[in-house]
Amino acid sequence: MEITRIIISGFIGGIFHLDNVQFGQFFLSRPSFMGILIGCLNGCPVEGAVMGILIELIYSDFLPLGGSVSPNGSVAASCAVLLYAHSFQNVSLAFFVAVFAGALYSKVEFFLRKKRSAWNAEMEMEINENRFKINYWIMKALMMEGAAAAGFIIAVSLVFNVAGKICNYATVFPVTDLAFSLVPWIVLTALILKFRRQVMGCKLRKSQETVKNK
Amino acid sequence: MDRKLRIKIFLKSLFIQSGWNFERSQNIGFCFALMPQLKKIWPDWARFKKALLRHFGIFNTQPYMAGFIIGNICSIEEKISSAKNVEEEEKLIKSSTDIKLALASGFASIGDRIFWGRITPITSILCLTVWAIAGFYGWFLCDADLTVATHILLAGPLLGIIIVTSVSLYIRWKGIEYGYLCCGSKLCGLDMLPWTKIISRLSLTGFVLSISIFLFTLFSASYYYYKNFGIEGLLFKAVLVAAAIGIFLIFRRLKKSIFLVLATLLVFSIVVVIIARIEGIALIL
Repeated sequence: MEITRIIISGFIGGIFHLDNVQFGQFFLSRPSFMGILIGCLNGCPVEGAVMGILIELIYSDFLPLGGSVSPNGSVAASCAVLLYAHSFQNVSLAFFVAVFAGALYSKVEFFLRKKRSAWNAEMEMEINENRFKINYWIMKALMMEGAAAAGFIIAVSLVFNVAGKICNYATVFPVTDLAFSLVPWIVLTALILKFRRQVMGCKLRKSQETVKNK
Repeated sequence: MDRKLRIKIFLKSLFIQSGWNFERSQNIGFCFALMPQLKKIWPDWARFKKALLRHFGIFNTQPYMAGFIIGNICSIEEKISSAKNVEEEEKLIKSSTDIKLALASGFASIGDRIFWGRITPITSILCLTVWAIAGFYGWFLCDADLTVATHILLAGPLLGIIIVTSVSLYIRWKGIEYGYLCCGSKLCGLDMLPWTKIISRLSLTGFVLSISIFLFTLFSASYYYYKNFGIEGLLFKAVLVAAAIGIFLIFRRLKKSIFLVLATLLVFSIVVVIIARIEGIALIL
């Protein structure tokens, strides 16, 4: 039953992850939403929401500019909820493991993007041979990305689930609990600094324009 | 461009980032979105093939702003198909590639600043604001009561989803229309809205909202710790929070990643937990 839930949640996480880059960008893959969604499936929507919003705020430090591969919030939020519900029963440890898992997934995404570069030559050949079917390539990209995310979420959850039978996670809870209680203050400070820098940047540009106009 | 074709292009433009690759970025998604128009104006496969290969090169922009470029290229392709001679056709083909690359970087810069740099974090703050109004403080009071209705939880992120989706769909839809009407202009859409003003207003909104949510969190947490743990508990927590913010600011100044900050925070917590377990100090604490 536990494994079935992990697998179903993993696949749902993989499908919603597609919204992140591959289709739409409707924000359905934002960690705060994914945390609640996967949390509802696993009986812990509140914990999912808490971990989701903090992951979202931590990752807002990274912008997907010019094709840079940022840590993946939707994968991290899905992992966080599954780790909480099926392995740790502790929000703080699940959060920290998931934050680093999201960063690790960016390596998988990097690999997929690199692998897709080889498709261009194949596609050009197909166009020249009059047998080009773009729908097939789009579907292939979606399937690959969704399957990779789902597989990653399931793998992370199962690894820690199995490891939990050998190690006692409870020994690190005091440390992670304390660190987790300080995370909201760090992300809020980061937010203020981020917008302060932007406001200062806008002011600087405006003053430069005024000088130029004069 | 008729409505049916525009809807087709619009729907396909939602896949603009499908097949994103390092060699040519969004070229697959861009060609996918252009397909309906190319098929319409180039019924002959040989010409269609040439047009498709023309646009199969590198293309990278902010996905919500891609409509402007797609619309523009659709109208240039129409012009190419009705060119009177080879020279005119070649001139138009060259200008289509130039315009595509120039607009892609221009709109990427605007879109990244507006959506990724400002609206995304603002929606996160809105989510926290909705939860604060509804009385859910679980995200910063870890040991507080965590019972809350699921619809209140969902209301936070859904507000952001609705805002971003409606704005992005509008820009995507209007972008195709506006781009098509520009008909090959290199400034196409860059003057549609006062982008600079929007960017600076969003920055200011984000700044005010972030300070407000910080102050709200500060006062609520102070009250909670004072009420439940007394002045000693409040002071102990304040010292820990100040230390954590200090660690963050030092690492920020050194331009280090947030992951390093989190790792340091874990090390700091280990030290605090060990110290707190030493009998004499535990008594003082």
